[in-house]
Amino acid sequence: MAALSACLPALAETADELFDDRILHDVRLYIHPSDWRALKLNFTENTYYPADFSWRGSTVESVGIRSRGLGSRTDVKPGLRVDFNRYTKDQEFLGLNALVLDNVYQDPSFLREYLSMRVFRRLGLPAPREAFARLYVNDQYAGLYVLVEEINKDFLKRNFGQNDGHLYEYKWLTEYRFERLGDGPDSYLDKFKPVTHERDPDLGPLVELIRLANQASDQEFAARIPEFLDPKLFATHLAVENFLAEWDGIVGYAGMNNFYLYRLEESNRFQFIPWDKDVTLSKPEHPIHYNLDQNVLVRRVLALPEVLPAYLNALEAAAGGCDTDDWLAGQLERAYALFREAALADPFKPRDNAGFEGSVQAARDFVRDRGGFVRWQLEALRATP
Amino acid sequence: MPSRVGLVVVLLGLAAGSAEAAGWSLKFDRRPRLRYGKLFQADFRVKMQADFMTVTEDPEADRDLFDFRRRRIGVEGEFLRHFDYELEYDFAEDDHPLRDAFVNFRRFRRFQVQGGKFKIPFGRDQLTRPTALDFVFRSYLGRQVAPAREVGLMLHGPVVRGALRYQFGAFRHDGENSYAAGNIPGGGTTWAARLRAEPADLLSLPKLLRNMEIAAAATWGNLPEGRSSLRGRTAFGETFFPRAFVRGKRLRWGTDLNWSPGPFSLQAEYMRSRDQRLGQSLRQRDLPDLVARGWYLSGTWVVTGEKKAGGVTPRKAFPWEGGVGAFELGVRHEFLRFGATGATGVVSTSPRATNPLPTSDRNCTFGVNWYLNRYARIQGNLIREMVESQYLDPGSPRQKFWTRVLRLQFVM
Repeated sequence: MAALSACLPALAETADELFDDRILHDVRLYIHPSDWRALKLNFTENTYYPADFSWRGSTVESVGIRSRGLGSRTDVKPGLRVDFNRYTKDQEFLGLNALVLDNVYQDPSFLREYLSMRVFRRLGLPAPREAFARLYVNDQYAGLYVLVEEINKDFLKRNFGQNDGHLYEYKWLTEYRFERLGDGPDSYLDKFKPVTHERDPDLGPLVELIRLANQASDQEFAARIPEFLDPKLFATHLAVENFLAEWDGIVGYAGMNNFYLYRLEESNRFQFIPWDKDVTLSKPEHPIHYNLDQNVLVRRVLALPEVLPAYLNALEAAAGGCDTDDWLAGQLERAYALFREAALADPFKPRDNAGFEGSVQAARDFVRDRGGFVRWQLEALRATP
Repeated sequence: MPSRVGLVVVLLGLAAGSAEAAGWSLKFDRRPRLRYGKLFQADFRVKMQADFMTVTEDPEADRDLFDFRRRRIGVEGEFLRHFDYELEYDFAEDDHPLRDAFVNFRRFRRFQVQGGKFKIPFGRDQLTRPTALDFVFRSYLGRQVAPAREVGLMLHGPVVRGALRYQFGAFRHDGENSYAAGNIPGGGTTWAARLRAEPADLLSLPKLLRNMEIAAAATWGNLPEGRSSLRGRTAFGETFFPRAFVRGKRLRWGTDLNWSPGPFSLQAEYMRSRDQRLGQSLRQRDLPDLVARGWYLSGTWVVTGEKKAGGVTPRKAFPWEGGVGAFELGVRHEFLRFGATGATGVVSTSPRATNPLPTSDRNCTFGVNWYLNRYARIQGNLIREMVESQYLDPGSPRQKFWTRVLRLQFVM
């Protein structure tokens, strides 16, 4: 760290400032041109390349960057993971070990990911901080990106006040909805990739949670589920996803996707953490009960007497952000004003300028209509005996 | 695979099919020998080595490995009075199965010309045949710094009554040891020179100093842009200094000593290589040269008394002559370090680091060789390695570990 400080003489910024979403940031990467070409050429691989990272005149030398993403992977505008200590032991930047430069390539409006995480946080759920940034590679404009806080120990410490629990990243491999795959942890290891405690992933409590969801009687499930989940918190997470019309989340169209799971220290209790919300905000008439009956765990949790009302209340609260005080519309317009020029100048964005403006308008339409639609469905549901 | 089968067919066909023709003779003297008068001779060779290896205190816990290390078949001999040749193929080798394939023109003894694929004349340990090594593994220098085989043309011969021997050649690339993953050559055209002297003959020194050789060698060549610097690997094959990006020139130089009085032997070697990194920084500026340097010192003692020079041959072979064969003890200490010249600033493992993390491996090998007879040998080695890097915590299992290896060898 002493050496790092030497190259960051005026380091006064904090990670909060890096993720200050009121500012359009400028991030610069310096990478050997042949490495940048190789990264684009091999964009499907996770190979790291050395680079210097610069923000507000502070430079971190010898970071590692690699292509990232699943559906958003592209050689045109690579999504990037910046690993500050890939090559230099214990190197950090503003207390961060790593950072994501999200190309949001599946979101031509640039708004979905950012606004979605804002809604999660507004409803009291831990979600990564995000901010918009112009990325320059070797001083050439490489496009508008979203700076995304990585879900790692830094994130856990900030959100849970602890970080020595077990963090798993859910990896979509096949359609899976918490069905029981076997008695041993090995059956689940490829789906729940350990991010912490990689050598001792200890999936036992997760296996037991899945067993409960699949095999326990209603009585046993109700009695034991609080050991593994806060049912109301889980319902709130589901409600936010469905409010956002997320069709690729926990109750996604092809099984579960896009979340992390954190098991608190010395506890069996899990918490879901949202990730990669770039296909949200697309369909105002997305049903509020979308796929809820498909997922084993979701079905059983929502069947608990006190949980369904919590789910509906959370939906109402999310909808309230749409039209009660125009909070979500305000967030959208503020962000749009912030990055519009940068987006228009982005030569690598997935659509042309007209397509970009059209996508922003579609997001506006969603925000305008979604609250009313959700409220209408809620009323209809509550009116049902 | 068809090419491998074809090669075997050609070699065996030469041995068997032609033997009955007029003027041909096939004899067995230690190995099959086919002759056609004085115009052609072919000696057929088989070399097989199998290793059983265990690494303890390894970062990934104990690991065992069985490796059919070498399965070589070859032929060597002479033709048309003035030509030698050698051809060897290794069925256990994926990247470079064709080992030696060269012809040597020796009409003028002092100015012989050798062409084809053979070892670049650099590094005593690397130039020693694998079946004649005192230890299971070559030294770090032999495996990682010396260039090994390459296609080229070499002028060589003895001078000063045979007390001096020179080799000077040009080669297509920098040798197989520097090839990167995917069989990509690690360097461009490479020149090499080696001068070996026998001081006892050269300076009329006492008899005791017979069988002493000293040598000095150098290679120099182009390094095209790429991640093709030399790299450091432990005995087990784990990388402790990864390849870095280089461009410019590669220069190696080294010196070695070999002395084999009676049943004893003493060997030492020092080597240094320097890779330029022109325009390889993130902002395309020049980086300090990468340097690898190392040495080893080894000694052996044939406890059953056979002479070491020229290879140990048991007085009484096991089992057919009723003897126990020959036993030899050996120890080798070696050191190899990678870093950059005059680099300052933050150390880093980045392949474009201004100041690459200096890393070294220090190794002590204890060996026992049991020469059962002229064909078979069993080697047992115990290797203590210490990787030294400021990124490794003292006492870390990645820092110090033992490797045990047992090799069975058959050569005909």
